[in-house]
Amino acid sequence: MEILILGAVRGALYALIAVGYVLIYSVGGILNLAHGSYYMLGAYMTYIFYTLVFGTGGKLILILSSMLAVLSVGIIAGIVYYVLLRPRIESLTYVLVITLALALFISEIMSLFFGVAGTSVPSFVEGSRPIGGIQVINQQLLLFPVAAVILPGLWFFLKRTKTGQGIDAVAQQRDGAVLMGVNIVKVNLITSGLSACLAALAGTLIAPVSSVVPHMWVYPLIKAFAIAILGGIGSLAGSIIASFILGYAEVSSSFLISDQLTEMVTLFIIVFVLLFKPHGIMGFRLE
Amino acid sequence: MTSSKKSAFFIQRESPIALLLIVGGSLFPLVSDNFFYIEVIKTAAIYAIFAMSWDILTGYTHEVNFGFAFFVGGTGYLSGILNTFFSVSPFWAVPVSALAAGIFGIVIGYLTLRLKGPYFAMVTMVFASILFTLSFIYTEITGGEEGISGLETFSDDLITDFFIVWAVMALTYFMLRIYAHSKHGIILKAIRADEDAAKSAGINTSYYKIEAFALSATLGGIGGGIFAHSQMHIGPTMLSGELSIVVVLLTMIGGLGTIVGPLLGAVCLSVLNEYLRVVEEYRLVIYTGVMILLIYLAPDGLINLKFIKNSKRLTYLFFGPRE
Repeated sequence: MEILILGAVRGALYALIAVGYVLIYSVGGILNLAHGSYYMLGAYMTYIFYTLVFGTGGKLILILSSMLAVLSVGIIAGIVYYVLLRPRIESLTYVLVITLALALFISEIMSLFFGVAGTSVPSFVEGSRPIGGIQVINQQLLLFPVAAVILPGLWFFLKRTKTGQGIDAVAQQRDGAVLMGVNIVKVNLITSGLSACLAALAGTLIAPVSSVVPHMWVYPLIKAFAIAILGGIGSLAGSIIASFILGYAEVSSSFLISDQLTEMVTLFIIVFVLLFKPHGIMGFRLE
Repeated sequence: MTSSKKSAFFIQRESPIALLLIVGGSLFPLVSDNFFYIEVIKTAAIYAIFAMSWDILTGYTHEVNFGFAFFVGGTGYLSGILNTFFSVSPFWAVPVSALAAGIFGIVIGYLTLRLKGPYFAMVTMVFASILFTLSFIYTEITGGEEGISGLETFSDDLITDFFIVWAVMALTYFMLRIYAHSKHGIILKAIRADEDAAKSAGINTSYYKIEAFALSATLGGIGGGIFAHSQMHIGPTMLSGELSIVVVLLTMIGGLGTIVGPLLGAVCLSVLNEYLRVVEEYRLVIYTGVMILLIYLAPDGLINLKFIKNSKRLTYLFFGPRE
């Protein structure tokens, strides 16, 4: 039972992070190594807005500041795309290196301003409740409904609105979309912002229950990559399924074998999937 | 007679500024006996080894290896373990561990080099993080966060140590230049230009890529082993993603696929990094910020900037006579 609930919570968290990562890769061809940093910035920005801008306040202020955090991370990601990535978007090496350098830079800035020990953010919802005989922290439980609202919302946006259809078209066939008059820079800009917003949302939701430290960007990045690989790069549905598989795999390995091995699970999944089934469970061959 | 001619020809073909740097640097301890400066230059030389050996794979084939720390830190740990637990002299421990890194390079290269572009980059990164995580799990061997301290140095004298590091750096440079100018290097360039075309010309491209990967791993391993022994300490930072990133950045800033570029880039930026210790608090922020700026302004590397390419004299200065 514990495994069932904790796995679902973890899966929801990973889904929020990984969907944005897969989206920006399939649309813009950008393998964004700063994705973990957007997650981290989501947590830090919540802290900045809540503690430094508003001082302290009630729950309403907290929710407001987390929304502002998500928005501001989206804007930062847009600027990063427009200024740093756009000029040389075709060069894979350049994109990889500059996003990774950016990730390092952001984490150094955060450790400069807030110290390596990190900070913390109060919970949106206090306390914990028993489910099936175990205590689950409410804040963690909050992840699940949020993911259940956001992910179908994203799907609706991509399939039903005009902008979303443009994004979807670029992901399917870039040249064809350009010929149909889709503005590729605009699409990439929106997608960058959107994918960063999703990561920041995960970050701001998890901030109260995990410590906000400058190195928190590393593991989400590796996990997002593992999920993208497992689900098949370019497949949003595959990435959501893969998030839950990874979530359950980690939780069960930490319960059944050892706590230390949870990180290794992710790494081994990546290696094995890449070596034996490089296109993932729902993926198709990308050329 | 012929051999002397050949060797003279070989020196003439070298980039004058790299030769100047190698000779000038080795004379430094004769000019100054400030231990701090000698230490700074030694560290710069080690980073130059990393950057140059990373360049031989990525610069020449554009297969981005993001897990260079695997070989650097792995060799450092192996050599440290051999030294502390089995009291093997560093002169044996480093080459043996580097050889092991080379063998690992062959195995990992065999498994991963058929993956393309981003997949290869990420899977190498993952291999490094596996080792990083392992170093925290097997704490009784690796010492966990503390790492292993009290490794033997090569000699008791700091200046002799410096000369050893500098000699290895110079050797690495010449070796890689020879390799890059040989048939193998040209084949690697052909793979970079168009792998399918190279294949259809009857070249076993995976063999050459794995060879370059193993060479890069071995040389990087030697650098890592030397680093560990000259610092007398090996810790998880040597296995961390940061080290891999810094090596990538140093090479990119210097100029991919030139060997000279990474050498100059690594030496200059490492010296800058140490110089920034006067403002220790802001050091890493400024350092990474400068790196992003340099890559943004000169994405092909400083050595490939237009004004250098356009001037014959500067091209000669940086690249030597082009063949």
